[in-house]
Amino acid sequence: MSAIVFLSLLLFSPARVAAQTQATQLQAKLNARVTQYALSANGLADAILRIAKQFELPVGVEWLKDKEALRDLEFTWKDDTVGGIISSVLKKYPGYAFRVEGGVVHVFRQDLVNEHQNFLNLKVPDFFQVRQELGGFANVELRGVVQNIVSPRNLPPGGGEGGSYTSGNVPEKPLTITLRGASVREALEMLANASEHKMWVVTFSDSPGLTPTGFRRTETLWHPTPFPDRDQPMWDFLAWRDYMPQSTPPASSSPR
Amino acid sequence: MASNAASGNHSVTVTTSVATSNPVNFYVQVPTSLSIVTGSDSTTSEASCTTSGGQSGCGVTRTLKYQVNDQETPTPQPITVANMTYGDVICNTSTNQLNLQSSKTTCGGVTGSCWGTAGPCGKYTDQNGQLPENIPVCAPACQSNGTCCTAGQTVANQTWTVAGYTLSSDVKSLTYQCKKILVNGK
Repeated sequence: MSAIVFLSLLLFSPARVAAQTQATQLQAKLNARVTQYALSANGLADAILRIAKQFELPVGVEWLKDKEALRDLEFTWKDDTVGGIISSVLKKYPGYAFRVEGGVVHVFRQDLVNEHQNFLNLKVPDFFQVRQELGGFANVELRGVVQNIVSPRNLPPGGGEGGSYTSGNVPEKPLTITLRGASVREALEMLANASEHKMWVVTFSDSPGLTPTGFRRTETLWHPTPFPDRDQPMWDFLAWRDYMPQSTPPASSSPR
Repeated sequence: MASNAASGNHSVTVTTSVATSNPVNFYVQVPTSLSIVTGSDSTTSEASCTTSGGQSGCGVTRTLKYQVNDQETPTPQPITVANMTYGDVICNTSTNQLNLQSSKTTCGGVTGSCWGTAGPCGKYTDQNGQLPENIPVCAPACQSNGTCCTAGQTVANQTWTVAGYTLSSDVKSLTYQCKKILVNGK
């Protein structure tokens, strides 16, 4: 009897119901038909983010910024679904695929997604908690924790942290999320789902070499060269309204 | 008027094949300082926290909203423009009793020996030309035998860059203490 009650509580817990509702809403968005849509984009990530902003899709993009992924895209669709639009974009960039997971449209390069050099496969340490924090600030804190794993700071014992976080023109509400046991990728999906920042982008550099700890180096949309090792990894965590392609530097291949 | 026009008054006339209009003054505002928006300022109570390295400590977070102001003297005027980009750079000074060893910033990265970069990095002011600011501190030094306490202060300088203009005449002095954070001594 108690097992049945526990199972019922698990199946119908508020968090689970909310996740199911979000998954249903996302699938409905992907199935929605579009009479006509034209896209002019500067590479894969730009294309996906423009589509995500237009149709208000939560997305996670992990891509390698090489010449192939930076190819310009001009495309017009008539009477297609939003999911069909994403599929046809990815056909232009061989090696990439998407799937719906954790309530977001996850776009990834198939040969990189599971490799151990991809920091997104790291586990979030148990001590990291999100309790009544703004989603953007939680992302900054998560980044600090992951940087401490990928680029150990070797700080003296007792070292504290200060600083500044600003949410920009996106009003944010505090949120509480349990991330215990999650990978960094899953944590970002959960943060995107729960917060006002609906798009995360991990840009792997095309530059050769790994960090001293063996991870792929990263850039961001606004910082088109790899960050120093002590700041690896970095990523973008954006609200739909934050993405203004005209204000980002022109995308180009990483300097070798 | 060019987007990079010099600050201050610019006389503009319109000339057609028939006539030239009377001159009209255009005042070009340049981001020069940030002021705290009245009523936007609060600080949490000191509470336990965990650093990104997993160390236990205590600290607070001060939340406020900055208004971007222009170069007008003696009273700077607000620049009520949306989507101005911004970033900040934070440098420790020699006063570091809380032993702060790293600093979160708007854009991340480093500038010399300081934390942060001038941006832009996808953060924009709202329609009033304002930006929200959260200043956290989490320090093991603020905890003794599992209890939050006081432990002196750390002073850092924060330099903002707004819409490409570095606000070098308005560098904010951040004083971190266990129970409060001061901006320019307040």
